[in-house]
Amino acid sequence: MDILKAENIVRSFKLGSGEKIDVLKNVSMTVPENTLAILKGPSGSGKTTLMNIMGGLDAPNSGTMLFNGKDIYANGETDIDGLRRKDFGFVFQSVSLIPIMTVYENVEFSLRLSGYTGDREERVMKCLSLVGLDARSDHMPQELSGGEQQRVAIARAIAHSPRVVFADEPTAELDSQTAIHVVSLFKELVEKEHVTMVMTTHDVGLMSAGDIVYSIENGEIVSEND
Amino acid sequence: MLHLVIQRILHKKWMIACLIIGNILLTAVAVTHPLYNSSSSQSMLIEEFDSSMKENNKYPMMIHTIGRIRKNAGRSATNKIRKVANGMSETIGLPIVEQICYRNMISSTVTSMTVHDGMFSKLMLALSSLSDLEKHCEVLSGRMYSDKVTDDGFIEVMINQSVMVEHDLIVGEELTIESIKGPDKKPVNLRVVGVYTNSSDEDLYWYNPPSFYSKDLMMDHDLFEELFMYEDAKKNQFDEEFIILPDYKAITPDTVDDLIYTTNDLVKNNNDVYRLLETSNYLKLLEQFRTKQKQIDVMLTILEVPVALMLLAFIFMISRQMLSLEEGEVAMLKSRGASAFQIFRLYLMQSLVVSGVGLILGFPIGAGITKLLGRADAFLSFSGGRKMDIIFKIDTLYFALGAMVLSVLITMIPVMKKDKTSIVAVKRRRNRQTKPLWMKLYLDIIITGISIYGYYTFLNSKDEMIMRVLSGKAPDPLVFLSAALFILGSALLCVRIHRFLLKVVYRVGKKKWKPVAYTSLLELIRSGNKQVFVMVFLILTVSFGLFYTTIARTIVANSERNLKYIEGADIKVREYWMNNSRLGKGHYYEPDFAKYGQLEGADAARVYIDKNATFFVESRRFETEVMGINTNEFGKAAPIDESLLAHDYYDYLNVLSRNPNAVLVSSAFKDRYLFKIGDEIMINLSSPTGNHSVICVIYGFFDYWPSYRPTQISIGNDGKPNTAQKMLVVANLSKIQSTVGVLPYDVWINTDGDNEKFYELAETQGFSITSLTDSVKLTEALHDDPLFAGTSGILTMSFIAILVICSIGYLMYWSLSIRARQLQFGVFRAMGVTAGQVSGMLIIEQILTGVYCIIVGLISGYLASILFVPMIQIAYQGADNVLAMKLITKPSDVIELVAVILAVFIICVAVLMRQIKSMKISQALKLGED
Repeated sequence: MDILKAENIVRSFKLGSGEKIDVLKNVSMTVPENTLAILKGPSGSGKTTLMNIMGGLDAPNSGTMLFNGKDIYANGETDIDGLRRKDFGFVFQSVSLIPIMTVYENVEFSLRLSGYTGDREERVMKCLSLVGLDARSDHMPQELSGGEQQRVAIARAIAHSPRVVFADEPTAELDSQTAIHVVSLFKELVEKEHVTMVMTTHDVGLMSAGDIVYSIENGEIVSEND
Repeated sequence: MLHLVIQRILHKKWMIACLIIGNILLTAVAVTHPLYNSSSSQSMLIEEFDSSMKENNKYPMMIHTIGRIRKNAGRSATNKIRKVANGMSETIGLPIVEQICYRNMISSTVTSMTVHDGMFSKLMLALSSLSDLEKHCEVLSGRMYSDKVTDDGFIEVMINQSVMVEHDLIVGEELTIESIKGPDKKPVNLRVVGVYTNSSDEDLYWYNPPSFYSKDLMMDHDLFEELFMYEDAKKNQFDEEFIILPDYKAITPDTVDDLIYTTNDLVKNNNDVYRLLETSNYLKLLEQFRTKQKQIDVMLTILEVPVALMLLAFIFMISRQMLSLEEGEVAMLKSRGASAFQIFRLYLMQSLVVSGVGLILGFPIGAGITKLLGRADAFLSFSGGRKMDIIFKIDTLYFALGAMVLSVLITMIPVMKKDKTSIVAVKRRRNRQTKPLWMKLYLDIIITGISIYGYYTFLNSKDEMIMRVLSGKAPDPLVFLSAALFILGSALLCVRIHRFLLKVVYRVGKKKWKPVAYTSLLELIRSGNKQVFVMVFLILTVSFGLFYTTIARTIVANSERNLKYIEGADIKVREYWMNNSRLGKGHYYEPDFAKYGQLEGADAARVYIDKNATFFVESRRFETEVMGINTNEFGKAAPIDESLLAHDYYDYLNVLSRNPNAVLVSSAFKDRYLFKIGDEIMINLSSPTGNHSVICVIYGFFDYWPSYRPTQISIGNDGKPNTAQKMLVVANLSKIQSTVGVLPYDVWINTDGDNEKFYELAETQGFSITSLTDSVKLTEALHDDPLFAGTSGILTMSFIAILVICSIGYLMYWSLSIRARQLQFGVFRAMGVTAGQVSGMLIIEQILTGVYCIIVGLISGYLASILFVPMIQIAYQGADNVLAMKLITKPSDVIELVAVILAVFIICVAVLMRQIKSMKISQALKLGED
């Protein structure tokens, strides 16, 4: 079953000069449940914009974005906020941890937000151990290396058991060794946590990890390989 | 380079605008001080003379020289002093409005050739002359004297009325003086040809009124010289006097010192047997002025320093904030090879441009503020009548330049600190949190401790402070410094406590806090350093605001209250009492008192005061003052603040009216002489015809009574303050009048503040008034006093300046902080935090900091007021402070203060909410990545 389905998505931006740039031109695609989907493409191709639209961060000019068969932009901000809180998780290109919170608190915060009813501490520690950082739960983000921070971000993204985790160039600022580790972590999460992962990257070396890979160029999907 | 600077300025326009506002205010505050000083000084100086003139009914500046010729001696001395007199204008540097030369032969025996009562009368009179008398007199009868000796050998003279009456002279009378010889060596013959008086009451020529010349036979001035002052007139003894009235309005504050010096010099150098130079007491006026000027100077400095420091802190805060925004830019410039010096120069230029603009704009604003200060009559009120001409002096420019230099220095401090910036260091620093230095050093506790130590020191040296004020010295600036330190110390302490409180609150509900409150608390606890500055600022604003309004309101209100109490009634008037004996020993004719009944809505009372009464304790005599009243009238005409009395005011009066022999006495009778209620007391009343004893019964004691000063502090000859206990006996007027007769009393009138109706009545009825005290006018004068007006004005200005910079600073801080937290908000939003929740976080943060700051600011301002305002009050009132001080805070001031700050909060929240609502999550995340 396709958990995400984009239909004829168009997204354009107006520049200050009045010039219009079409970032996404009539894109349609699907992501089946419990897979690791990769959007690849050169920078400026529109892959981040596409992912933002899929994740409810940015509304398309036209077209529909379905999650679980429902248009996520149909009912306005409140519904989307709820989706992001409960069903989605995000990992960003740069370090996006909240600097005032410890590693533990960063992960726990997503549980607080989603209204998680179980034992929060247990869940946090489980997620941290999944990413191999349970020993550093009391550290502040700035005391960790880039790779470690990204792993905390991943732990945070999955902590509230979302259905989909979006990762925008999660490996961009990491060395290749760490990058491979992160992607294999994603694969592991798809298996163990039963989440669907959508990830953008321009790193050709990581493509093979994907269950499904979409290539985007100039705002259009040029190829799709399973 | 300049191009680059201007580009940068345009780029950061909001920050720069704030910096410019800070600089403008700083310059304005700095120049206000010398401007107010110089501008108020001039009018104050003139007022000092004017009020002396009003008080003594005499032109306030007079220099009197006397040259004496005795037989053949003293001629050179006389010539010398004549020269001094004629060169006076040049010597003292003032134009002369009037100069009178008065020559007079020593009084001699004058024989009248007219037979009075069968004999030639011999009179003691002097032959004199006044320069230009003919231009300033009116001939009442007869005619003006001739300027020549008559053909029959007579010198014509004129006399005034008092000579005529006292010596029984008439026009046409002929006199001869044996002892005075004319050029022909024969005794002079005089003929009275007229009676003169002054032609106008306002004429300064009559500095000494005609009655002053009560022994003088006035002859022509030039003729006098011609006949009696020739070189070898060996026998004639006369004085040549000059009365010189310089134009005091031409004195400027700058020339005061010179004038004092020159005058002292003149007096010293012209004082021997044959010459004398003396002056009216204008030196005292000048000294008084100088003291007052110094007082104002110190006062202004003391009051302005805190606001100037806050402005500097504001400039520091903004420029530091700006620099931290530019960190990346600077690091980039550096990495591209810009030297530290180049970057330093860039910032120096920028700060010179900004403070230069501040200087140029601040100057006229400072002048405007100074004008306003002159009109200040109370806190936040500028309706006083005083008009101030702005006088620029070079020191104003020094102050302005000084402010500019300080501002540049303070702006450059963060630049110098960041000198070693590199990209790596910037990234590393961004997330580092350290405690502020003052927190590590416990400066908050140390500063508060020092201020409390200062408080106790002053508490124990109140007498010394009173003495300082009495002896004309400026108040001790340390009192104000202690107050300012107290406010600063407690603000810092409150910030420390704030952090602690937040931690407690956070811990208490750690598990249960909802995401919004949880994040806000964490944000405040973990990134509190960023807020320290703005919090301290906010607390200072509120507490200085409260403190300032309290000082301003309290000093004015208490001085007013004291004045009202000491005066006793709105108007105290003494009419002319005719006496049928010239020496006042006969019967007095009481002016009609019933006419005061025509004053609508006003109450009048007859109040007899005997200052020279005595009372006896075991046959020893002690001084006291006695006040005779009609209880019914007095209660209405002389109200008193009931809180000053142990019992109801009317109870006192009723008790007194019960028995004609009853008296109320001041508590000192009980404390010092052990009198009890019911005791008899023998009082000796004074009167022109002798003393009269009366035995009275004490019916009550009081601590305060309208116009009664329980103690009087004065500086003794040893320079130490003396506290004298004053005694007062209040008795029934009828009893006093039956003892000593009806003697002149004052009429006290309660007009409910509308004294005009009294003046109308006095005008229409043609009152002949000998003395009048108008406490409404005195109150107005109090408001217009440069010290009071300056204080109210400066406090108001400081208050407004603090409010402005605090508002700007607060807005600035928040809009910058939201920019800095853009990424964080983006992440929050991506995680599903709604826009409302993000706003909620900010609102909670604002409440937890802002509302906390307002509350602790109010508390510390109030505490500072309770502790320090009483001491400051002393500086303004000194010995006139009869009543215990009441701390006065006008609630509306506090409401205004809090309302303005809350309005800023609301604007802040509105701006923030807009920013958050319009925030594009995807863009925020993108921005955050850079």
